Amino acid sequence: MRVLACLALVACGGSAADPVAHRARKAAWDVRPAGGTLAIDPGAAPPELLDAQGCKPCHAAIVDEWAASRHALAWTNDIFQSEYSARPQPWCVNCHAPLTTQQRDLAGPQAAQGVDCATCHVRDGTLVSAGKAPSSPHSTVVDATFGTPAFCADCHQFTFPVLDPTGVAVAMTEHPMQTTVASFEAGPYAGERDGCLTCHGSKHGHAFAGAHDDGMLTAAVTLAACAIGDRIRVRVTNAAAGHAVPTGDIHRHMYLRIWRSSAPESLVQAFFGRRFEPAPDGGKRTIWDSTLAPNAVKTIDVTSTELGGDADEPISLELTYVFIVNEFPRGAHAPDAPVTKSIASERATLAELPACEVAPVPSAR
Amino acid sequence: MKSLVILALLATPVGAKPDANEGRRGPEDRGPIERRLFSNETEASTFLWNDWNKFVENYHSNYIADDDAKTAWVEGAPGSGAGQWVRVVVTPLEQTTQVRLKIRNGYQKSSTLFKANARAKDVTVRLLPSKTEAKITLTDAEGWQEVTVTQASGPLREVELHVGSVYEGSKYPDLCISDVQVFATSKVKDNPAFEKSKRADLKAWRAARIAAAKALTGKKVELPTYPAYAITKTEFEGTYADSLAAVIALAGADQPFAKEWKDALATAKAVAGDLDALPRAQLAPTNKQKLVAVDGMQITTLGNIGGDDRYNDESSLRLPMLGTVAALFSDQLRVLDVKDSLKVSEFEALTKKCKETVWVSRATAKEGTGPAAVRALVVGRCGMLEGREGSYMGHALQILVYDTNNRLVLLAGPGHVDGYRWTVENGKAMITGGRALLDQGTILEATKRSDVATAK
Repeated sequence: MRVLACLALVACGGSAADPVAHRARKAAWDVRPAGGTLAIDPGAAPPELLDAQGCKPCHAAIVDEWAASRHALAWTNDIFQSEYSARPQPWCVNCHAPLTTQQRDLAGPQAAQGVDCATCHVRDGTLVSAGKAPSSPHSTVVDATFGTPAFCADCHQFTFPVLDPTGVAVAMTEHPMQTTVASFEAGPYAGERDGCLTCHGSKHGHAFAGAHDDGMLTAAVTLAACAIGDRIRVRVTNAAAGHAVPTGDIHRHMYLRIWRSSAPESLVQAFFGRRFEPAPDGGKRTIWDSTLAPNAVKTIDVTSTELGGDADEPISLELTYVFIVNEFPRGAHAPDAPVTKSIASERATLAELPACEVAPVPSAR
Repeated sequence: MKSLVILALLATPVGAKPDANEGRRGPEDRGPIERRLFSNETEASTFLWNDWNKFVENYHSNYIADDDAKTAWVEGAPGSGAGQWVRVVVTPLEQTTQVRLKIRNGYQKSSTLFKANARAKDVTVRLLPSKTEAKITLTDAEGWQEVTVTQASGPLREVELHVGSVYEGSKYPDLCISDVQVFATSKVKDNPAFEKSKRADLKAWRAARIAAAKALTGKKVELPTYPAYAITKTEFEGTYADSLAAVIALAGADQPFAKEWKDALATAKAVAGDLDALPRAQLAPTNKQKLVAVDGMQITTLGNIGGDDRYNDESSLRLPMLGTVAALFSDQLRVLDVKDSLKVSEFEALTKKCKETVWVSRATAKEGTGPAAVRALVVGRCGMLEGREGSYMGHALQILVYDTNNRLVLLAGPGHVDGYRWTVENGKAMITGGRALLDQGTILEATKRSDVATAK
């Protein structure tokens, strides 16, 4: 079976639709402007609809799956909290504890549920979903666009905001900030029937595995090395993700590192991520994008001499995913949780590597 | 230990033989790895300090870690150097089983200097915290020599060399060691990017010392700082301070700070409590002499305190980002009141057309005596900074508090509060040291360097 690995934490499904077109139709779930400039108002819902524990008696498997997901940790996870504590901008909260009812008490138990059942399923005080079981006691509003990429785009596709001095978004700029859904829709799997859930789905549909899941990362991005003369050639491939990697939060990036342990000063590294510069409209213009588009391959050639050390010393390779801006966080707001994940690594002498059969390509570092 | 997935096995490079990757191993599969550990922090029993290294541009124990044969740790005690020691602090490494040292004994800048100065002979190598010791005898020869010490698998934090006897120098009694490189063997994965960054830190420290020497040697420059300060560090439970008021409150909670800088903290607190109420000012300094970073005193810049990912350096106290001697004396600044309504909060929101801006807090004026004395200044700087994610507009504010003698006694900025101690020496006011509180959880004590460290 083909493995697709979309790395954003998204709750999606259905056809690959244009998010803008869906917004024009004003779907039942679509109660706020694009970009998360406002909180989501769930309406006058009964308390049990606003608490995952209220859903659990009838939907235990789904709630358990969600509870182990990053959606459930959207507000409490250490990486977000460490960055939020440094810059507590209300705009961020609109996707990390999105409901107006959560935002009334950000230290409370409902906020701690992050992106919870009600975040997606409760509008106007009633349930919204893509379908309704005949036995359901709920007066569910059925909307075919629920769970489509357009739905996920609400928090996984938006431009840089213009923030007022208190961190409230007062407008959106034209400059892309998170581009996961657009990247998916421009990619080879845009036509998949289940949309984002093709990869981020699960047994009960609510696990939303993404970049924090070892299996997703290692299936999505591959690392391979071979030797050609006195050089090592390394290839990094977005082998299975339906969108660019890394994606999601702009801080996320990857490093490919090639080195000999006796000579870290000669470390060679390639960066996969985006860089920006301020734009006149208050947003940030992308000036560099080395993220790997679906099926893209990056090839790097390095000479053995360039790496220092002895010629017969093993060469180490590692591809590392970094979740925050600084791989080595220091200071009072450094998160306690690991901020990196090793996707792949290898250590071999040049002689142990398989021979490449093609001519060297210029390094693109 | 969790095994890493070796994806080379999953994806074959173009042209590679399909089965050629079989049997290749990841780092952990190969067992322990020997790796180079860099150091950006050393200590020694003493170091020689004379007119040849007035600004610590050589001889300090840090030069043992710079991979440069032209520099050296040179001990500064009377006598031959026997009994002296040097400690190299390395990246903490768990499960260390072996340490290999490469040593350039003596002062290897030239063969003449090698012979002229003393070289280490009998040395005890001590690994910390295990306290594993090995007694070795170094040869009296130029070039690299190696020694290997094994320990039961455990942490490695520091490596000490205790010199028991020396090969005496033909001209000078001073014991020298040009370089020590540390290679440690452990099952723990190595981290080349971090080690490389430590090497860069040490190079930056060294460059600052050389820059100070270049700027000041042979020139008649009167600075209120000494050429070097010793720094001691203690830790406390830090809390990220998101405002000047917050970091000043942290300093106020530190009893020694609160006691010694009571009045200055009260002034800083009052200023930080209502920044937008401060009137704008302009500086027309009478003394334009630039400050020079010395060992243990750095000059703050927008880049090192105003960045998105700020982290205050723990190897020195901070001096104002104004960067001039006049910043240390309010009566040399000539603070002029200006009619400009730009408030501090408006300054912090500027995204363009941003320049250095100053606000002033004065003591109550006495009638008919002109402008009242400057009690405190708030200095704002902004500009484009370069971060991992590209360029961005950065802002930084510092509060400078002056005493009744017009001397700077307290500096509060992003995540830091620094208090200064003064003395008058030959009629000149000089900073003898101070105390700094950093919100990351560190308190620094700085004293004019003359002390002698102790071995562990």
